[in-house]
Amino acid sequence: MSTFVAALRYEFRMQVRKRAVWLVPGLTILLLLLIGASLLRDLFDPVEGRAVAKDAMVGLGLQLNALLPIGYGCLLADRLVRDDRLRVAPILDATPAPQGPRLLGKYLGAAAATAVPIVSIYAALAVAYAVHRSTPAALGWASLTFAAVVLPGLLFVAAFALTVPLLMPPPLFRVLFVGYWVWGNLVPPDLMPTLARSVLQPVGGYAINALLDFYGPDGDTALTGPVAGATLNFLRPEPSAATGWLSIAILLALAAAALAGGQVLRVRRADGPRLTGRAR
Amino acid sequence: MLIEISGLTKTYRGGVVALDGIDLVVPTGMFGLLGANGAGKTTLMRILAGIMRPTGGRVVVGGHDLGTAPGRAAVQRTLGYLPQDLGVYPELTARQFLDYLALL
Repeated sequence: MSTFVAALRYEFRMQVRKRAVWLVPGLTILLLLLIGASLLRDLFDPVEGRAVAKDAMVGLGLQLNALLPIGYGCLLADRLVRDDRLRVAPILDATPAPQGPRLLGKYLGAAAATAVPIVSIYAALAVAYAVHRSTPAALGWASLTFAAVVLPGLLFVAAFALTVPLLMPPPLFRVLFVGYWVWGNLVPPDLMPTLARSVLQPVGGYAINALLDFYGPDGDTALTGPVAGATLNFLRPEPSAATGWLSIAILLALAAAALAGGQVLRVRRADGPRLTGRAR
Repeated sequence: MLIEISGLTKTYRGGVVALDGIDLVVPTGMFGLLGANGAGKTTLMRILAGIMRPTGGRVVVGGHDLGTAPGRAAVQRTLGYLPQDLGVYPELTARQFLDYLALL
């Protein structure tokens, strides 16, 4: 337990101090606003603003979750491999701390620290909306949306962002990750085979439709379910409470599998030859 | 602390033999290990530190067998290992880094 807590604490501390962790989501939001996204209009516009707290908070969560995880994944891409690059890994490996809890602490610490700006942005907008509309319920809906929609997606992204760079350089991972995110979340399934609208979609469509019963402010925006003419429809069951929970469980199981795979890779590498001195 | 090494072998994936049946007793006190590049000094040190598993043989450090998990943990609690190519986390002060290592 102490290994896990120590790794979590120090990884959180190191990551949360990085300026990029704050700049990237901040600039993403700024860019969204500059290109005319309806983020603030949906909340505060006297005419177009959403008067129902649930519509406003789930819609806001969906908008944030569609784009902010891109920067989130990119920011986490070097956290595990940098131990080797900084030549800290052999010192850490020589401690009696078991590697499993150390990896878990690093994962949750870095993931939590990188999520702080995202949580802050969401919370600030939720509080502003709650005050503006005198609707404290907005805070409850924001919390629910974060727990059911945003959090599973971030945990999924963090696990892969931490471990996939063990197989490829972090810059290449970042490029591929951005492509994956657009392909797997935003490309319409009838355009090409994609994971969009499926239970594997980390943007949280099933949680939004099935668990939060949100289908857009007009009630006709389905984010999930089979699409006529699309491939991979077996991954797009009709939304229900069961498929909502299933989607979250699959994302978390895949995250656990990625971490387990990363752990195996780390152990194998530690057991291999290490170039030292001039040979490096 | 007495270190007893018998028949220690390490063969890397790919067949490179780094250590080939090493027998060595390191008595209590200062001890120097000299060898050419590629002789296996780092491999031996990494095995002694519990970072790397040997392919064969036995290592006992201060009465603890490195071939067993409890023995390895006992050695790692006792032994300080300073790699020749040392790095630190730039975001942490020296005190914080040492505290982190101590907690681990």
